[in-house]
Amino acid sequence: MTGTFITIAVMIMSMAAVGYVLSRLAEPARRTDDEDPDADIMSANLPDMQLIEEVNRRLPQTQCAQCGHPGCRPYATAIINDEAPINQCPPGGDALIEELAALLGTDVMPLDNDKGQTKSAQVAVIVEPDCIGCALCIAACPVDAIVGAPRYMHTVIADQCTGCELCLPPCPVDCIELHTINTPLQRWQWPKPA
Amino acid sequence: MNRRKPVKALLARSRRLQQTGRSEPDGGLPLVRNKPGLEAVGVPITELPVPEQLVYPLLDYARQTVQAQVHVGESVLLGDSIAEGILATASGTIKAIEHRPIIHPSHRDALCVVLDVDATGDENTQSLATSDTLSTERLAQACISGLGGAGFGTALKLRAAQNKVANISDNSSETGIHTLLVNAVECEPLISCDEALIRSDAQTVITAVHTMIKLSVCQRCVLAIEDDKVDAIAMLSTAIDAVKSDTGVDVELVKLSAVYPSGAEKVLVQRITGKPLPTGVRATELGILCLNVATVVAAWRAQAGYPMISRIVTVAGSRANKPCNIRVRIGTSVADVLQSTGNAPEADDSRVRAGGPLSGFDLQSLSVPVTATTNCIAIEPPQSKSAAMACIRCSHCSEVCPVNLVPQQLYWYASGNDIQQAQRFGLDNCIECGCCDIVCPSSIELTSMFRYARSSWREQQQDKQDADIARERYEQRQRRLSHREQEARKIREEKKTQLISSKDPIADALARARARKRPS
Repeated sequence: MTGTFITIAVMIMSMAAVGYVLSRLAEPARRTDDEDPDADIMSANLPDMQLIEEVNRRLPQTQCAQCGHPGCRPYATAIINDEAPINQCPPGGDALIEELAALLGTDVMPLDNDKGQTKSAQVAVIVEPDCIGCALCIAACPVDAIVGAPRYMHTVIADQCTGCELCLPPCPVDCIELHTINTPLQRWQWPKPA
Repeated sequence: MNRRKPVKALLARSRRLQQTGRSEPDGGLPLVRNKPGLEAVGVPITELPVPEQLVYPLLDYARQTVQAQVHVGESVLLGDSIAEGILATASGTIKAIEHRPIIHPSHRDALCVVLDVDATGDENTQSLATSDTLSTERLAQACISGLGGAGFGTALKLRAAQNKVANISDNSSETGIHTLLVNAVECEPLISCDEALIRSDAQTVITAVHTMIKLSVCQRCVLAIEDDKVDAIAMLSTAIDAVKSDTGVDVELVKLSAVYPSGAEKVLVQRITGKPLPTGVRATELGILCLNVATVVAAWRAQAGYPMISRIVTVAGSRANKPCNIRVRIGTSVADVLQSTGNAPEADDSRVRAGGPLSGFDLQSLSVPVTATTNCIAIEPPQSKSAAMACIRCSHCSEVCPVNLVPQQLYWYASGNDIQQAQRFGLDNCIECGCCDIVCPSSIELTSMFRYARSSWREQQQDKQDADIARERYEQRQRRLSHREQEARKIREEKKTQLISSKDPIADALARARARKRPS
């Protein structure tokens, strides 16, 4: 009886040992694609600052304040402090909501339409003959993309403009227009096959 | 376990493979070459007459807009600069700078310089002085760019290869170009422009290769060619024996089994060195300078003072009446090429493709100009598309993939828009050769999906970069504003403390008011 028990125990142990050795052998061959960087963040229970950073990195950085917060980082902070839901960012749209839901382990929800609609990329253009040089738009631009001086014509640095529309309301002569960006050839994308 | 071997070891292995026999590719398809338009051995390639109008898109190899250096109405001579990297390929007058259709899969227009050619358009094409040695500066001056694939500037490539070398390998002391790899393997089975060039004058090819050896100061030179180009190989062997050089580097003729797509740099380096290029690493970074054979000849001609004004184009395809290889001035419209060679599509349903039937794309307009990278114009019957069925995981695609990917898995991720996961499975290494499409029994458009996924990934990365810049600027502004706020507060505080510390605040205030009062 004891003999049988010992035999079984030895068998189990040796199988376990073989299994362990095999698993170690298989280790180097294991693909790195199992390691999801997002999963680490969730499981490690990172301090809030790092989580805010992670959320902020996913936000579109238009700094448009459509979410009701004065920029992308403040919105990221509000999300982590449970002060705002993840569906308040129209430029990020549904793709962003999915990404944030995956990061934070929450449910995907539809975009809050009260905050605005997702638009294609746009750029602000100052109608230069109409500009009176009041410098109000310069103060409003969250990314310092407008250059000019009082009583001199202003202009938008198109490459730096995020199309946030924040320069529109302060302009006393309504000389700022928003143009949809025509994708340059080097950024053209192949269509997805049906 | 899978540590990369040093380059020297790779090359040693490749030499061993060559001694034991040619290195067989891992994937690819042994497609039958129906060598069209190859005239008798040694016949010079005919030259297309210079058309009345030439068009130059103001784009560089990466499709970035470049600034025109000419204005409308200006007279230019052959070899004059039109923009950075673009030369006038005939003399004439600038007629317009306007949007015109170009060779691009988007079928979009781009800003182009339109040149009306003078009657004297076919004068002497030597616009630069002859020089004794070839220099990188001369390559840039003559606008030599890759005639094989992407059209990267040869001078830039050479500099990149000379400067940025091999700290990837374990012995990082190694610098400079150790191998010059001359690519005479065609991009596609249908294309024969490189073979036509070799057959027209193999001796020139070898002389040009020796010039490039001298310029690149390489230790080894490999000329790679498919083994079914029998005539070309014979002519090259004779020429290698005939042309003597003082560099002490011999031209090794390596015959590769004719498997599509061996002409792609990534696959060619893998077949020559026996090891695949690591992801995201270019051959130049390993000290291998890979140049198309036509590029090498163009560089040699630049030494003699001839800028790169033309290229050999293969006109072929199953609907082509007279398949041929013809030397075409860069800027000539595709319609002109087809008309002059007697290949204008007759049937309405013919498709004209730029860049070959497998890796190219259909053209919507025939008025698009030929560029330095237009190696082939193919006239094909309409595509017989059978509806795609579900993937049955037969793995045929993985077997033929020349860069050892698992296309079925990549397709799974890419079609589900999980491009990040597709990237982890090596999407970046895909060369979009189309082998997987050919073998797929379910007629799945794998390559189109990978093209979409790759361009979409690039765009995502670009968007991320743009967002990073915007975030940096926003945060800098926030810092500046809060700093300014702090400064202002500090001044207010100082004033306040000054006021409080004053012994007789009322007398002080009166004194200040008196001082402010203007003398009447």
